[in-house]
Parts: sequence; structure tokens; C-alpha cells
Amino acid sequence: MITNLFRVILLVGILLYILLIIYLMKKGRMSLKYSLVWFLTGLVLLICAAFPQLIGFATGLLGIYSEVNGVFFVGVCFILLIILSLTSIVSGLSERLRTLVQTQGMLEKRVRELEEKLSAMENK
Amino acid sequence: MKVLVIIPAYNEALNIVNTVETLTSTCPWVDYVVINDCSRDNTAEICKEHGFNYISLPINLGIGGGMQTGYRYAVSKGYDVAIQFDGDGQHNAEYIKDLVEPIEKGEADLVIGSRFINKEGFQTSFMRRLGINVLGATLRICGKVKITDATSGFRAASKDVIEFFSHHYAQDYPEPESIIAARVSGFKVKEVPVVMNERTAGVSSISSFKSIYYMIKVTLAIVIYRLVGKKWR
Repeated sequence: MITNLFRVILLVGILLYILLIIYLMKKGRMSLKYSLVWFLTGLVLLICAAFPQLIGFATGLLGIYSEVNGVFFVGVCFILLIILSLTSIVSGLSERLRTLVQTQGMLEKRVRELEEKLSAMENK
Repeated sequence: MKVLVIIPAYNEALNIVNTVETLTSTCPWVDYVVINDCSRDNTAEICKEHGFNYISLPINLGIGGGMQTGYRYAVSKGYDVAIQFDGDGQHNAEYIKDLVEPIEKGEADLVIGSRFINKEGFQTSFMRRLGINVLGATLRICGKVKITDATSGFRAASKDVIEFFSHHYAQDYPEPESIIAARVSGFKVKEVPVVMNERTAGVSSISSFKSIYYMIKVTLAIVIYRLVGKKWR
């Protein structure tokens, strides 16, 4: 089991982590849609730090002998999922950006040609 | 048949005037549009000065995004055939009618100009040809189509393919990928012999340094497309 000192350090760290999420949201640097999953991780971490015996219970359910292994395993799985979802988000964004750039390029051409026509008419 | 020639240009200030003027004098019956893909040189200014028909993109999208712009333009203007014609002077405008012919006759939806059927003109390096043969074999297995010059950018697309490409177009190395995309979507692909020139100025977009990465990526992309791609419409 973990020492009381380390539990306090963990709790303070998690609190700072949640504050960071709130700060990013306040600054408008994280949208509500993506903040929920991060709040959830903060909550899970908080519960684990407050009641470490829960970890032993959960790893036992998964059939893992060592609690440490269980924590790392679940953590890595979660990080993989998050990275996968980020790649998917970035792909969607670049697709939308490309469409936007193409449309802008075609509009720029129309505006340029209309301006040329207009100035030719004014010069007549 | 309304034919549009799409000329993707990235830093082609040295070649673009020659390319467009040769095109318009050789094939006065086609329209053209230059896609200036956010060139860092003065390609845009040169197009403006010469009164070329051009689209200037505010962000560099690469050859895939640039060509797709051309296909979208072709859709908006209702063209029957769109031809990719590189801005670096490698492609020969005399062969445009050969590319259009199979589409006109309804023999094919996507026509690729191959420099390896009659083996005339510029034939590129041995390593490059080896890579092209590997891609050709991959396309034969995955797309059931005989392609001798998979990386050829000199190609013509029918009205349906234009519409398809305006929605879905491979982005990074689109020449071989778009062939498998067209095949999987149920289009007929055909090759016709052409003669290509060596680049007169500027550098190719694929450097030898990146060529191994290119080969792996494109081969994988073709296989993956075969597995996950679905028929269009």
C-alpha cells in the first residue's frame, strides 16, 4: 500500500490537474466537448488516490496479480485511446481546412474576375 | 466535349509561361486553369501579368489538394473531361487528344498517359522504373487493371470521375492512389501511350531521399484502400 505522505502528494497533484483543466476552459483553449473526458480521468484518479484499496479490487477482477501492473496496463490503454481519438480529430480538421482553402481559392478567383470586369466597365 | 486542362503549379515561375503558351497554341480547343498552390516564388504574379486563368490557394495543400481544387472547379463549370497537366513542362500537349479519345468513345472513365507502353522519350532512372513496376504489380493485384506508369500525372477524367474526385481525392501521393480509388469505385481505367519530356527547370516533388518512404506508403495505401474502400454511389 502507499504511504500517507504520497497520498497527500497525489491528491494535491490531481487537484492541480483539475484546476489546469478548468483554467484551460476558462481561457477558451479547450472546448467543453473534449474537456469532459479529461474531467472524468481527474475524477477516477481522485477516487483511486483517496481509496487505494479500490485498485486492488479492480485488478483482482481483471485477473492481474500485481496492482502496479494493472494500473500501468489500464493507463496505457487509456492513453492509446486518447491518442487515437486525437488523430481522428486532426484528420477531420485537416479535411475541413482543405475544403475551406479550396473554396476560398475559387471565391478569390471570382472576386478578382468581377473586379477586373467592373474596372473595365468604369473605364469605358 | 468541354475539356478543362488543370495545371497544378508549385514554385513553377520558370516553367509556367512556357507550359501555358505551348498548351494554348497546341490545343486551342481546350480551356485551362492553373492551380497556384501557394507558391513561394512569383508564380501568382506571373499568372496575373500574363492574364492566365488561375486559382491561387492561400495555404499550400500539396498536389492532391491542388488537383482536387481543379476538379471542384471543373464540376462548378460543368466540364465533361478534366486533364491533369503538370506545370513543369514534362507533359506534351500533343497527346491531350489521345487522352480524351477513350473517354469520348466511352471506353474508359480515367485515362492514364504512360511513357512505358511505346518506351519513347524520357524514361526516368532505373530505380524509379523499378518502383513504378512494383506499384504497377500492386495495382494489378488489388485493382485488376494493367498499369505500366502508375505515377504518371498526365491523365484525363470523365465527368463522373471528376465528380468523384471532387469529393474523394488521395492527398499525399495521389497518382497511384487515385487509380485504385477509381477502380474500387467501379470506374474503367485505361492507359494510352504518350511521350514525356525531361523537366526543363525546377526540381521534382519526389526527391530520392523520400523515395523509399514513398514506395512503402503508397503500396500500403493501395492495399488498405482495396480493403476499406467502397463503391461510390
